[in-house]
Amino acid sequence: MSSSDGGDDGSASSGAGSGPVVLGSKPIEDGFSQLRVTDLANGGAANDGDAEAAAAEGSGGREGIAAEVGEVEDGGAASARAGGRSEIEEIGEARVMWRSNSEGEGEAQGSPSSSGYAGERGSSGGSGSGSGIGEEEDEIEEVRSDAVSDSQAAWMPGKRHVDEDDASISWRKRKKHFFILSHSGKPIYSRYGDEHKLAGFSATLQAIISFVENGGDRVKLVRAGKHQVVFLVKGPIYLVCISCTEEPYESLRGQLELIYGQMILILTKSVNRCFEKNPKFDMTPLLGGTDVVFSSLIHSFSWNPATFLHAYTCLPLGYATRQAAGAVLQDVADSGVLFAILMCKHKVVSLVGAQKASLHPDDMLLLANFVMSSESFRTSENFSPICLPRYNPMAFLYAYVHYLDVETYLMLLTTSSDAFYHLKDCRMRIETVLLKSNVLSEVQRSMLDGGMRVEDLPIDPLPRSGSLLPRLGQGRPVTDSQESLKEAYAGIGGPAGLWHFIYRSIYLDQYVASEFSPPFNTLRQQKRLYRAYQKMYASMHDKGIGAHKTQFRRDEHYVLLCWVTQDFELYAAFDPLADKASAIKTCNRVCQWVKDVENEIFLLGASPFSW
Amino acid sequence: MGCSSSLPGNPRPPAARAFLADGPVGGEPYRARAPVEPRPSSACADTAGCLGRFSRVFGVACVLLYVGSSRVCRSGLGFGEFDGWNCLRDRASGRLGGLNSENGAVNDAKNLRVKLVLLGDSGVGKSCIVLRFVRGQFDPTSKVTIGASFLSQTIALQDSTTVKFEIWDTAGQERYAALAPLYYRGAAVAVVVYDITSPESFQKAQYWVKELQKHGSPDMVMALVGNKADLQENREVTVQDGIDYAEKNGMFFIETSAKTADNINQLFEVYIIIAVSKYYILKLFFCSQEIAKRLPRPTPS
Repeated sequence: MSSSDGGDDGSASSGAGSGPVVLGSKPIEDGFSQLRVTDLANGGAANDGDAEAAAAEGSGGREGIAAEVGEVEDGGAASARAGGRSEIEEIGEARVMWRSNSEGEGEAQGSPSSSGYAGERGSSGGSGSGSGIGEEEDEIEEVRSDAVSDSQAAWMPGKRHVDEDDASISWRKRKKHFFILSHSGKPIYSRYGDEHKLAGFSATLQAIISFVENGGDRVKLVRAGKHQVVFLVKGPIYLVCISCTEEPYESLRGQLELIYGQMILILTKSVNRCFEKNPKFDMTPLLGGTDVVFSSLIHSFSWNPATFLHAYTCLPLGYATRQAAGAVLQDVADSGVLFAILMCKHKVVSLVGAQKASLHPDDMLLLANFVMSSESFRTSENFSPICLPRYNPMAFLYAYVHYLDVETYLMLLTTSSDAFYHLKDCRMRIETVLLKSNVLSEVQRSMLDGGMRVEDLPIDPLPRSGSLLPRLGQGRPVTDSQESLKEAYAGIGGPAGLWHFIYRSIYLDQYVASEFSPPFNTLRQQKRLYRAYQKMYASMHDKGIGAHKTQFRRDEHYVLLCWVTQDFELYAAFDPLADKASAIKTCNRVCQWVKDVENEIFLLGASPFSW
Repeated sequence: MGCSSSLPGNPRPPAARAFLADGPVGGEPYRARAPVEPRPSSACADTAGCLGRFSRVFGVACVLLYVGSSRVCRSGLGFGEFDGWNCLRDRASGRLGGLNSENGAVNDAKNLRVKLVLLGDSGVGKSCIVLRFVRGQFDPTSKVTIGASFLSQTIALQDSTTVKFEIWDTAGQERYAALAPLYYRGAAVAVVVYDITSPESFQKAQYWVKELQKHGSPDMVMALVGNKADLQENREVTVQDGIDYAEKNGMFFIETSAKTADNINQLFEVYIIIAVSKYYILKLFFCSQEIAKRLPRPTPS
């Protein structure tokens, strides 16, 4: 493997630990052993794993954590390979350094030096708690109040840290970066920092991708210490995620797909033509003002299960209420509207498509994200072109969007660009009916009441045609056995230590998640659970291994039980001390419960096959 | 419809809109920062000026409806005052039938509907102008408009005439530029906005003017608006530049501040209404011509 030029201090011959100058170098092999280039079939490529640690940069005593990168961009002469390598090396070292810190005590302070990415987590390294997955925040500097239980409450939309670039320590310490760049290396979007200042860094990413492509291959993932660098190539658009959050590759890739989809939703795939005309085309102006859309999507990667389940969720509503909403939407759909969607935040109230038109859950997620993150929809009626990537990535549809109240909004999609006044009329008709039939007030009540709670899980398999809502409306009658079981678990969670569950119906493309209740009081805990589910989902759908049917996993935080059948998938979290047999029994009960109330928690009849 | 051929038409393409560039009152030139008049109605009462003429327009419209005589109509309106009316007539005569749906400014005698579109670079304050006018609010935190927002506002004039503005507030982002025709098609009024502190936005405004001249309806009334007039100390585009460009292109010009509400009501309630009413007068005139033709003529003795 050719040793690279500039920036590398010493070249280690191979992956074995003849590490060059590294501070606190004990676990170095460890770091390197983690270096693994996946999916690089071509011979030479594997050599990228050769570790050459760049000189660690810590001067003085407190250095420590931030790993330094070799001169990635300064070495303008450096070949693509050199760029790629230094990247990898570096992160290997980052791991080393980090470890040395966690043993020691050093105040976490990276020292800024050469440019390049070294997004190792820094100052939070000292936090005493064992760092499980998802325990760390994505952003070290973000202070979140643990008291907030609404998962979105603490998050402010919009792009932050625009003043950063790849030379700033804070930027390097970010735990999860997302980049969109063009095939000529021009930055298009970066989660953190100013795109224009990141031109050199994007060029490096582009160099890595195109180097591998020149060898007739594709790079999908580079694993380096705690970091994963995930690549996704979509024609002239490259997407990259650099993350040390320990999320599975499949999940990160799915997130990149969604980001790409969000871009398509705004611009359609015909942007590709701009690149055919001019490979150096600068796309940033085209995306002007959409930072909030992307940042809110990325934020949803840490709270919204729809992002990995590829399913949508409905607002719990009485069957008749939902039918009433559906009927008026259906009226409208028959008059030439392609899709009529009534949503409350990210939950669907009702949804109707014209004949033969079906809406992919991912499109709904992206559309809802687009609408909710753009303030301008809230101020007035709006008529905008949007593209549904799964429906037709090449063409714009026209969306009429109107907020009926603070959280409930109506979206009417059509193919006709001059249908505004028609859609406006439709909206007025719909609004009148919804007000008359009290749908809107029911929606608001449901938002306040919340959905299924594990504490309410019926203990006995009562053969009742259960209804969720009346019980939610007027305090919950609690049976004796429920009471006693609850006491056994000191008031936490539901029966048998059930803390939380997600049920996904495969036919309906819908899921239902129970409300967060103790002990998931904090955002941090909720995010950890979310990440655990995400991991579980990835492992259950790993094509290499074959689909599992059930999985039971116990760790120090909880017991996770996953059960996949042809009809549904159930993910449940229990008390870490929960008994396996009773957990399984509880899962059965959850399924029964969901079936009992499916009229209220799911939108039935949305698929052409059901009545 | 052949009325254009029978009249001494004087097609002057460059001046097509020039008749709108003269002043609201007696041809007095538009001033950059016209003195604030509280409500148009009071202006009307006090001066019997522009709005006096405006309400007369509606009075005559009634006359037209039940008398239907071109002679009455002509004397009532005093068309001689409007320079360039006959060239407008040439264009308008082509589609007298389409008064209602084709054009944004229409209607029965007492209720005028004005479809209006705002265009301009992103961040010049289009949404702020609209929100100031429609809701009387100003929100300094910038919210990027997506596609186009639709707002409407109805104002009542002294003579119980109502004018309903239907406003398309378009997004200034580049990606929506190609979709602008969607919104300005059929608009009676296009308001092109720039930011007086940003020469680039002034350039962009000129781009929009050219675009409208090329692809917009020739009947469209155009306004050039320099916003953020409260930021005098950062001014980069002089008042004179704005006036000059507007005059050259047959637009009217005004500087506004959505933040201080300066000239906002002026813009909508005086300038735009007047411009539209002029247009409306002419439309009525041609209608009356058409009607007159069909009426039995008194035989000259």
